[in-house]
Formats: sequence, C-alpha cells, structure tokens
Amino acid sequence: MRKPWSNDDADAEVNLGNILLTGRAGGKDAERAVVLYKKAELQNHPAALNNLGTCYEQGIGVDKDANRAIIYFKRAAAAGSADGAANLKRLGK
Amino acid sequence: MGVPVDEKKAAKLMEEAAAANDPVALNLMGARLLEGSAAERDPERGREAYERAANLEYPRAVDNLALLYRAGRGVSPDIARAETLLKRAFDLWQRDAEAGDLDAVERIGWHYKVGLGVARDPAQAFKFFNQAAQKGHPLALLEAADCYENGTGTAVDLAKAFEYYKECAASENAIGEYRVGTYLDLGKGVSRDAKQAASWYERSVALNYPEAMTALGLLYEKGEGVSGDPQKAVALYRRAAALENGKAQSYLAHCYEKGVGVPADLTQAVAWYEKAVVKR
Repeated sequence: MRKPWSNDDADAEVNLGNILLTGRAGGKDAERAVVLYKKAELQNHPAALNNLGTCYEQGIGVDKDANRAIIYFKRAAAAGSADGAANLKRLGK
Repeated sequence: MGVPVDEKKAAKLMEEAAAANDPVALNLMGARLLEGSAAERDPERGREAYERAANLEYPRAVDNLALLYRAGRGVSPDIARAETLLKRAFDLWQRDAEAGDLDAVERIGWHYKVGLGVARDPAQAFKFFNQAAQKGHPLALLEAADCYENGTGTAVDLAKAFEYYKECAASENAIGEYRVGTYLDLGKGVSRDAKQAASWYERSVALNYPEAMTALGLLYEKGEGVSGDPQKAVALYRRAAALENGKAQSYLAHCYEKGVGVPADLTQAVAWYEKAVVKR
C-alpha cells in the first residue's frame, strides 16, 4: 500500500493513527487517531476507511455507531480493503 | 562554505546593476528582498525594485508585481491594479515572442494556462507551450509534457509526454530527469525498466531534487532495478526529508516504525510521521 507517485498518498496519516490508537509509542490518543483517519478518508484510503469502521463499531475515539461502522466497512471494501470485506462478512452484511 | 563573502559580492554586483537600471537585476533583487533569507527580507524595497523593472517594460517584473497586488503581499491587495498589470505583461510577452524570445512564448502559455490577464484557455496554453517545446525550451517541454500526460488542451499521449520529458532531461534539468525516471519506473508510455529508472533518478538526485531522492530510496528499499539496500534507502529518505519532502518523511517514519535499514524506534517514527502529516 505504498504508492510513491500519487500526491494523494495518505499513508502517513494512517500509520501515525495506528500507532496512536494502540499507544505503541507511549501516549495513547484514540481521538487524534480518528482525526487522522478522517483526513486520510478524504483520499478514500482503504485502511483508513476500515479503521474508522472499527472505531465506530467498538466506540474507540468516537461514540459507538453500528450503522456508520457498516457504511465505513462497505466503503473500505469498495476501495479495495480486504479487511473491510472481511468485516462486512463477519457482520453478515 | 565561504558563502558570506560570495553572497556579499553577488549582492554588491546586483546593487550596481540595479543602480544602472538593469531590469533583470532589479527583478532578481526584488525577488531576493521578498523571498530571500530573513536577514535580507524587505518587502517594501522588494516591491519598489519590481516597480522599477516593470517601468522598464520587463514583463517578468510586471507579472511579479501583479501577483504581489493580487495576493496583497507586502502591499494592500488591489485586484483591479493586478488585472491591469497582468494584461500589460501579456502584451509585453507578445511583443517579445514576436521578436523570437522563447521564454516569452512559454510565458504566454502560462498566462493562458492560469488565466492571467487573459481568459483561461487550456488549448491556447498547450499551443504556446508546444511551440516553445518544439524549439527545445526546457520549461516549455515540462509544461507541454504535462498537457500530454493529463490531456489538458490536447489529447492524452503518454509516449509524446515521455519524449518531451526525455528531451528536457537531456538539458540536465532535474525535474525532467525525475519525470523520465518515473515513466520508466511505472512503465508509463514506455515498457517498465527499473534499472534505467534508477539511473535517471541518480542524475536528478545529483542535482539535489528531493522527489528523485525519495523515488530512488524506494527502489533501494524494494531492491528493484538496484540491489536492495535498506540503509541506502534510509539515507536517501533522510536527505529528502531534510529538504521538507513529505513523502520522504513518511517513508523514513515507516522505516523507523518497522526497523528497515535502521533500528526500530517508535519515537523517531512518530516524530517523522508528525512532520509528514502537517504537510497536508
């Protein structure tokens, strides 16, 4: 998922979001992770969309919202995220 | 680097030329006063220098002055005055183009491309860019290649774009060299050849072009067209990152995160990701 040539490459947002979400580097900050994913969402970044689905499904950094979660998983799957497709399947959608 | 002495000398020569009312020197002086290092910055005098060069009918200075008024940089914004100046610049460029000045032909293309002092017209822009490109003007070659690549003002033609980038690269233009590299790297308009791509990136890197450092670094990281060398990749990302290339900052962060070519260090990873994300 590292496309060097396009300017719309939003990997930095997603990777930093992932670190902040888990608190792997110390300081856990789920709210900021969501903000970063939403920035990457503007580029239709598949992993960002899937991760937003997970955040809404589990209420991490945002209020729990099952419907929004499904919308995000659908968008993630459509953007080519295998995780997004797997999440939809898991939820029977 | 012995820079202070040379810079003083350069500044002195420029002052002399400006005092002698040389429009090119005045325009350069204006640019330095407006965009140079903090120590030499003086927007008011910068505008004055542009003004003097513009009064000498030097179109580049007329354009620069117009853009100052348009953006309200160092002067209160005055859209009407900006528009008058842009029209004036456009006329002066036409005068110079008729006299055979290729820079002027390229600049007319730019006026049409952006819609400055004339209605925006991609087809006209392409026509002028292509006219100067056919005579080997490096910047016009880049512009015309971009038109062919994106189909602006002309039909998409990647083979033609590649040809123009190559011609531009032949004049040791760092952007042209980088673009030739990307076409070969991606197999765009030409069959993929990562090895040749790497050698074009090398040339562009030698001219200190950050995008090329990042692209070459990626080839070293993946071991494509060159033998894989993660440490070399990291060194290239680091060089480009220091030049504020966002992509390089992101890739460097990724190397720190995963321990590629450098011991894993999440603190460093976060710090570089943070730099990369504020770029957007």
